[in-house]
Amino acid sequence: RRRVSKAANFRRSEQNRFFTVQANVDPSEVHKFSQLAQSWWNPNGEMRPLHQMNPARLKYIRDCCLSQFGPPKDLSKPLRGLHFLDVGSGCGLLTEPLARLGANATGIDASPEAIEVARIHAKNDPDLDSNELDYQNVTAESLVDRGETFNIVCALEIIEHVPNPEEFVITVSKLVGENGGLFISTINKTLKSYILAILGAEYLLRWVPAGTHDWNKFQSPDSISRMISKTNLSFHSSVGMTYDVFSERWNLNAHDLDVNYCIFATRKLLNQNPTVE
Amino acid sequence: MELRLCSRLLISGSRFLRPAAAISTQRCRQLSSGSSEPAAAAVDEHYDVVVAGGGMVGFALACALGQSSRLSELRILLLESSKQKPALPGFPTSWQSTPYSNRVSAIANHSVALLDRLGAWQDITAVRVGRVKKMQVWESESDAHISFGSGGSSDDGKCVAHIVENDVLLEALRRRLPPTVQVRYGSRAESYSLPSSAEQDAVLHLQDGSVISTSLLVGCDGAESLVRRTMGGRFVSWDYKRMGVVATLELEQSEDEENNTAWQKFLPGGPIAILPLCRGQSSLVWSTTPSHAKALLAMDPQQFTDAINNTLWCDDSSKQSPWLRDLHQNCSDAVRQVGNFVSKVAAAAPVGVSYKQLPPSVVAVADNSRAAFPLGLGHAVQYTAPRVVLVGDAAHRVHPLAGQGVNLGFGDVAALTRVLEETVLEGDDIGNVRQLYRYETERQRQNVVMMAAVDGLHRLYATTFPPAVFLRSVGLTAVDAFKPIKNCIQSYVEG
Repeated sequence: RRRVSKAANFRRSEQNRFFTVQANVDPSEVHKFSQLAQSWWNPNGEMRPLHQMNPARLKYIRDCCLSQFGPPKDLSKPLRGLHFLDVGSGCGLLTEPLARLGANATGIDASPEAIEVARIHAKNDPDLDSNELDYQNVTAESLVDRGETFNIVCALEIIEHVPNPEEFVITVSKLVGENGGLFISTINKTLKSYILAILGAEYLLRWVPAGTHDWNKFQSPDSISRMISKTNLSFHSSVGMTYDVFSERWNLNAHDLDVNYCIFATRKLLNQNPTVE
Repeated sequence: MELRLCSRLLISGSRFLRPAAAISTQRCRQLSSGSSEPAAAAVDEHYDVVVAGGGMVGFALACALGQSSRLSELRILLLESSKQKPALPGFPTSWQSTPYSNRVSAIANHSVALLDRLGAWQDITAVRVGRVKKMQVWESESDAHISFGSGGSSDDGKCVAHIVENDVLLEALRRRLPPTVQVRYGSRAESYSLPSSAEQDAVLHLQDGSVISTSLLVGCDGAESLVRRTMGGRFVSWDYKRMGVVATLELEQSEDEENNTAWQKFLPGGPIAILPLCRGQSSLVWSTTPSHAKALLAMDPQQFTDAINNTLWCDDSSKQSPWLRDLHQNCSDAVRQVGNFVSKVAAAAPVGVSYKQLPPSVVAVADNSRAAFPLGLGHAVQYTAPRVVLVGDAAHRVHPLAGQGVNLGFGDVAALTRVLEETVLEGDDIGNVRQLYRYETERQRQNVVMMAAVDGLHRLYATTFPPAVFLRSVGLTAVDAFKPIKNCIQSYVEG
């Protein structure tokens, strides 16, 4: 029987004020995260797991950029010279560190409240230049319409919240420039992820509010790879992220993709045979 | 599950067991209850990091941060209240002929590794450094003794510790400071405005009226730290009611004798330590009661020298009753036999010597080298707050009997540099409390253990109560005889 998630309750009470039906956006999901905007930057609030996950995600991003673009000239700014797009940036939890690491980072999100909080928070740090960090309340589709491309597109922890994942992957792949890359991170659809991410994180330990995730929307690495193969990108590597309860840190684990994982796909260069990984 | 060895002291290690523990915003507000929020006053300059205090630990931190390639984008300022001394030409060779300073520090091997990485250690060894290859520890109330290290010539093998003058260390670090780090001498902060959350900067109001804001304020301003007092957190401290008397001594040594042994004798008033500087010269650190310290400083040099020799050579074990002495001897022999057997079985390499060596004779004391300073213990319950962190004596102060004071500070420097590099690598704000807690947890685990051990030793040897004397001397003999335990302790102390 179909499990009715709490997200469905939001759907009944909210109207879609900002987006037309063509956009691949679920207004109830947008609303759910807009409510959390004020507490997003509290490292001990509802977004605590995302705060804790940041070091691991950034490490994977840095390592993949190293292999894709070569070693950086300046060790203190390893992402300098790269244009990043953070799809579903929320309040900028990933976008700000990317800018601090030297990237020219653009964050987009469907929630105007989140974008507003992100802009205000960025002002706290005088070193975050507005030339390096930019937030826009637009969807990925409108960026495709504008013809914009980026060196790296990050779609982290977002694909499990959109109505049509296949279309989403095609859309974001169009935003990847030549020799660029795409990061997609999400939660695997396994029994282990149901026990840990839904039952454990949402109901038993209350690390995230109940109803944040819908297990039916989780995707396995294979299904993401299949979606990527339908675009002009090719799968490069993947890594799992496991949580160590004792040290309260997330670690990268190449073998355990059972719960959280991240995939890196690269744009094939023109006239190049796809490499076998 | 916290150990309650020194209960008040261990309570002070608030991050002892829980890594990067959650902290409520309410507690953050309490921390700055003693200070005003950063005012809307105009700020003259902004720095990413301000190191408040230019002592050995402050300069070591500024060097480490300035030389780190990951932190090359940080703008760093060091504030030192004393006036700048003119640079002596011909360093290091010109310093070799100056008289020894009476303020010296025992540098452990991990601190040597840090100073080597900073490039300062080669300058220090080019001036002069005392090498401790062997250490003998004994007491006045019994015959028990323990020795560490394997002796041997000064030029080969590992050292238990190195004895370096504080002035030499400071000058060597000053010369290794990268030009990107700004130093302001004769500059002192009159007050600090510390924020309750990382959304605002920390602000310093200097004596000359200028105002500086910073993303991270590092308090390296010593045991009476103004930064720590402004933070307002709990500070556990007690006065040992002892003074440390220091002096530079001349020893009676033949031409072929090396001075590479450190001698420490525990007395009821406090330990007396003779630390090697070079052939024929050693440094004295004598912890004793304030009245005795005053008397020692007032004596003429010959009386002072006699007092030291009497203390080193005579002991009070003859005051013990004969049956107690026999019991003690029998127990020590038994323990030593068991210990030797266990050590053979464990195939532990022999460390130190099992017979008690005779300490040196002091011939004279160098002119104008006698001084005294008060001894106490202090530990800040919190090392960190939003945009502030404490390093060195500002965070912890220990009894000098184990020579660990500045070594704990250098350990703080290495840990904080590593944590800031990881913070920058994660693209995070350097004043973010969540990152600074990792430094606090890591260092409190080391510092609290060491401070509890040192304090415990001080209390243990301060008593003349016969059962306590009996137990501690049998215990000391046991540790000396059980080589695996002694090896553990030696490697922990050496660092």
